[in-house]
Amino acid sequence: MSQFDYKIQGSDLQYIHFTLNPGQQVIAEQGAMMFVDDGILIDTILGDGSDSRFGVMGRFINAIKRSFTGESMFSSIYSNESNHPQGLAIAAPGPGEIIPVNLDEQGGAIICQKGAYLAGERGQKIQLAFQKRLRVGFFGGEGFVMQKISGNGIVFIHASGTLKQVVLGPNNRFKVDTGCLVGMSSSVRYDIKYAGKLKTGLFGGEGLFYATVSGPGVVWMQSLPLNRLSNVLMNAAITGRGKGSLLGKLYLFGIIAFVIYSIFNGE
Amino acid sequence: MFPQANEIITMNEIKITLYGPDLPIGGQAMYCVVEQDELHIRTLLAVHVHAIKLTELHASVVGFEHNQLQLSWQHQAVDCSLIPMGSDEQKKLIAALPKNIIPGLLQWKHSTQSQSWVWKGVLYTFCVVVLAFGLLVWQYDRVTTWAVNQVSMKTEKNIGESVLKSLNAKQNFLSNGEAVKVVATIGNKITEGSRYQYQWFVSKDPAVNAFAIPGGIIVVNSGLLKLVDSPNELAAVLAHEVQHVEERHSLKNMMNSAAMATVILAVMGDANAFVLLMAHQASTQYFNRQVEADADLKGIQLLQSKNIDAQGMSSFFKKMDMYSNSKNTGENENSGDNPSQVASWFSSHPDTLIRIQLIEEYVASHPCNTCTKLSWDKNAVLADLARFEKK
Repeated sequence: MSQFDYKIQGSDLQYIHFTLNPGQQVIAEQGAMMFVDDGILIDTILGDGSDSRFGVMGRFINAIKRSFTGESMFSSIYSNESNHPQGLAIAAPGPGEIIPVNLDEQGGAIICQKGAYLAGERGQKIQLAFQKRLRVGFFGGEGFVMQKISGNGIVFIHASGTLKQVVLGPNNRFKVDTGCLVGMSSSVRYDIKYAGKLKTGLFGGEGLFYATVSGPGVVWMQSLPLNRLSNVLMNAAITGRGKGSLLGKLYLFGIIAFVIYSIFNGE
Repeated sequence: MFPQANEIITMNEIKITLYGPDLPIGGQAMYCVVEQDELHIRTLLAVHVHAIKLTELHASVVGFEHNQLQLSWQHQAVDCSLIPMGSDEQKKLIAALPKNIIPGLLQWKHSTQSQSWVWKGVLYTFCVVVLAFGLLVWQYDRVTTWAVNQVSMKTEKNIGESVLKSLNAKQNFLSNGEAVKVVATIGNKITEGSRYQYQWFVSKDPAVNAFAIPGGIIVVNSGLLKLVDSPNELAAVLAHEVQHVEERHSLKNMMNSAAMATVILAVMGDANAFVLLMAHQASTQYFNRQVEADADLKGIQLLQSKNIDAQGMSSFFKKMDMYSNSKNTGENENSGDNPSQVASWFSSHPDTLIRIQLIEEYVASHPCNTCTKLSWDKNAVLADLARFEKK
């Protein structure tokens, strides 16, 4: 299949604008569509649309497994049935960044955090990747279940915050805060390390463990994991408008004083 | 000669992905061959060959699955590495490599093996827990009986004493006099040689009831004493209650309620007092039937072992059945605001007719020729009760 003609629009709340040639198809997660041109046919398929050697039952089970990776059981397929190029916009489900990943450059498969998949070409598979190291599953910040996206061509992944890509050479290694990992090539080893000092572990704000990733391969990280963002928003929502300014308080006090004054000096 | 050599080479060729500087991010597909003390990396047609000494290699664990083997080496002061493509190629490579020369290879084996040990351990532990749980459910009765038997006599006696205290024993219970004497005489005859030291009481309650408290305390209501016609019927009732004590049924009920509460807590994660009370109700109702039937049959065995005629059991049950029926039909209008004094001893025993049938069948199939009927002075008992109730 020929390469997509696409452009990612926006800075923090992004969407992808595709221009589909006749016959081209895009698969996207459910509910991500923003608008489509008239000549594009929208269809719904079970799972990622790939066949299973166990027939319909196998496809259904695959779709259920897929739903554990933070995706819905069904996905939408957009195909250009007309004779002219048609436009299609797929929007990100939250604040953050969309990045295109060429699977051919990554050895055919990448591992992503739950729900990272946004859109891609037909034939790509979204499978459940189970973390086999107990300690990483418990303390790694991504849980036991991640998603493995395999196939050919370009896949669009989305995560909150600003995304950063790092290329690791053989035996290169660095530390990531647990939870900031978005994705990695399947050859990257993802492990955890004890922070080393109890003082750092307890008061460093990063928890008792760091995630370590070691190459060869590519790692994507996010600047603001969604649960951190939601914590901040939640706190702000509970404590009201945050720190009110002194001037605002004086203004309110003035209004109250005026009301009291007018009560006693009214007619 | 030439084709043979070629065959050997293709046999030993292992597909790998090569990583290093100046190579694509996702690595470059290549082939490698292990030759004596060197590792040859080459393109498909062996156009370019790069040889590395095995001693310069270092093995380490890579990959999301923590089970891939990476062999890395220094090339012009930069790290390069190769990873076999797929698990089959990896097995071929490991088989071809000498074990002890390459540093890190043994550690790699240990670490991948320990991972599978951990999962096997988790799996087996899980299986053992499931099996143990299944066994517990299957042999539930035996488990509770065993657990109840672990409770010491002293604890049971303490429980009984506190229950007795809460029932206001001094005011409501008669502990001497003709009525108690008759009950105690028959009771002691039944319980001769028991591990419990029984205490017998007569309560001022007109309801037809008798009950057992843990630790060997048995209370007979005056209403029941008035209804029984023969001492054998009284003996049957006492034998039934004695079996509740001997078999520790009330402790078992407590255990069942606790088990039910545990299951509810485990399933719901959180439970309030109301739900736990419901669980207690459900468990006591569920276990009542078999417990009562058990007490009936064991009571008959006890009576017969003490040479007491067991016909009293069924005749008293029939009387109770008739009595409660007549009360129900005769005083239908009053039954709403007059919670009857009828047969509360019976109300916890719903399937009366089945029980009577079971008892009669048992007595018929186990005739007791040496058994005798007891005798008593019923008038003296009634006079004593009348005096007691006047107080």
